[in-house]
Amino acid sequence: MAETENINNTGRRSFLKELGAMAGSAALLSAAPWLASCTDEKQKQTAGEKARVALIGTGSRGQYHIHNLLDIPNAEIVALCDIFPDHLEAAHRLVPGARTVTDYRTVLDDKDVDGVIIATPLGTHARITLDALDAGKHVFCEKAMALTLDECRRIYDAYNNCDNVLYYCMQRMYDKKYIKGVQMIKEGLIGDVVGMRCHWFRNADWRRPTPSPEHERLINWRLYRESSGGLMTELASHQLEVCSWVTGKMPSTIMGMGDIVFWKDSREVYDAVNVVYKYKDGRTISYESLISNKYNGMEDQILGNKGTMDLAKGIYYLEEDNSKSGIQQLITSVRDGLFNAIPAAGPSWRPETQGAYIPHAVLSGPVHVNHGQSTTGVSLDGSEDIIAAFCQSCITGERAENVVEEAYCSTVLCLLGNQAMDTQSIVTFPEEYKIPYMSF
Amino acid sequence: MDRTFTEYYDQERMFHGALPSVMGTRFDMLLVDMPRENALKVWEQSVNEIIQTERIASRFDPESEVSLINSSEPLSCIYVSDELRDMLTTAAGYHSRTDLLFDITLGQSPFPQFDSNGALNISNRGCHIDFGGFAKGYALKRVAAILAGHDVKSAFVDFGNSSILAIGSHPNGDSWWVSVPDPFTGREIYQFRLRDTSLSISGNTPMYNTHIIDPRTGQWECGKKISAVMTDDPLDAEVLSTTWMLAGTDQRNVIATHFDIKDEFVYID
Repeated sequence: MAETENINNTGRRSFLKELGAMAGSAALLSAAPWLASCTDEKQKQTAGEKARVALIGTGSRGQYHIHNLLDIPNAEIVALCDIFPDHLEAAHRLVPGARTVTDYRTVLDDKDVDGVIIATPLGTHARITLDALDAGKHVFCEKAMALTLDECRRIYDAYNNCDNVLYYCMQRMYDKKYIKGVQMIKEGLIGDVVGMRCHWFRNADWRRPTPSPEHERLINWRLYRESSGGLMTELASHQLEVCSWVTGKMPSTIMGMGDIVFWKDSREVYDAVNVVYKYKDGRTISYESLISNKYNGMEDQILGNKGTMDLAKGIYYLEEDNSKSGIQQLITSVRDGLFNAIPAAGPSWRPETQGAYIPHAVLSGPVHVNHGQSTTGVSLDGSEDIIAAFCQSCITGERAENVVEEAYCSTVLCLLGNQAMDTQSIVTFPEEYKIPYMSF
Repeated sequence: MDRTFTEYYDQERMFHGALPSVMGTRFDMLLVDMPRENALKVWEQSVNEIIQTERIASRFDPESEVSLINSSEPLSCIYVSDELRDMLTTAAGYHSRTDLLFDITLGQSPFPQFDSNGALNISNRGCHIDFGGFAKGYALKRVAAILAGHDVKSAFVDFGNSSILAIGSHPNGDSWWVSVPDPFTGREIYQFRLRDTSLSISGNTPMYNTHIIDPRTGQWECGKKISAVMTDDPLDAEVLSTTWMLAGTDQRNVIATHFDIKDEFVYID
């Protein structure tokens, strides 16, 4: 069922259309209310109109967005901005008609720009986002929201004091298998959610080649604390958002351990983290990430008393599963020309071994699975759809419900995870960073 | 139809459709000896019917009609859809025919009543409606009508292996042959031969023993117990299998006189 990470453009466009059609369902909107701003119907209403957008940050992720934007009919890239000439030139080759600038404030002053797409190092997200909102621009920003808790709060407050559109690239919120999977969880498929296990394992140093030593902190910004929250903000932010989405609640205490275990190359951020988030009702999120072993890959497992949803794979397992013993046996008997009794009801007892579980796909047809090894971005992980939704919002001015709140929640959890690891203490969720959206 | 899986086996002219998550369980339909296009029509109509029933009756969907009623202010009046009215009045009929043991309120509020204007009167204790133990049978009854409308001769329709509608017979036999295992031991405890009839099975399992509430006490029926009822009417079977989990032998004998039961058993460990 799983496809590789390369999907052609035809697949991408039909996927966008499918998501829009999905968003028309009331049950689905209940599980993912942010889709209301990009329903199929609304996409039709803005056909032919263009969102004039500018890229601020044209490195690997910025160029990834450019490739996606070039496939979106109502997107027009009018300007490109970067302080690193190599990136700016590479982006300009992709969009020769766009203006190129090196100071983002030039873009913010440009009246021909409706919205900006920020794909810069995390340490700059807050400043550029706040300036862009202040300049009246619609904003799409890479995750995580910001480098510090105070910056997150300032962005959240600024957003609530303006009418601009603001999106964060929490792409799982627009990933079809996640949307359907979360809907199934909310419909009770796996019973009560009793815990969550998320992990992301890679075996790569996370380094990019630099043309000269003075570019080290600019290119490898992910490795330094002045510009990065490390594995928590770069990877865990996606996964913790899913936990918030599924439960509708926030953990109240956080503890963890992190260190530089393998990549001892003068980096400052941990290359191995283990964080436990505990909810008031006793449930926990067990989070682990390591970038010197990829055996376990990436998984977002939601554990219920009646089943397990592995959202990253788009597969679920039931604790008591009749599918094999019932209908599948019946189909086999018909095909084999047999006639025997098939067991019904009373889920068969099974030993408590993982191998006994039967995988069920969340979606019919091919499902794209991101193996989590790319450090730039992959196709069909929701990134294309969320940036398409942003362009839609640039035209309509309609905000995507809860996107900012979810980004705030997950980023704050990442930063508190780092705080717990740095201080080696149990951190209680600080009152000053609670927002009305949060429930504990 | 993005929630469904379908497969057609050309050689056997057999269609299999599955809806993996609906009404808290899985729905499967096997149609035998049917052209693919006809089978797809039957499947799509059936799924639409089931999803429509779920949209009305699910208490887990905050936008369902039942959720709206359950969250209504005490002593208010509400006009409901014709379909929900039908479900409520049908459930009321079962309530009286089962000596009050089958109760969609689970004993947590008075049974909802319609006034002379057709409005549903919410009691001073509010309203608590739970169509678990009813909705699957109700939906199966609708599906049975769809199958009949398409002149389906051989079909096996199944909600979570516990609510089954069987039309005609297995292509290699004279019926659809179903065994019921003891959920605690796996040992087979009963067999049913289904032909143009329905089977519903209720019971507790090692992992799942808090889903049937005795409306008389408000307590879970948690015993090592399983009941199965075969009737021509899928809704009768659904209601009775739940009722049999609560009724004693004498009470079962009395209630059974109000129904046309083809086969049944109650197993208590």
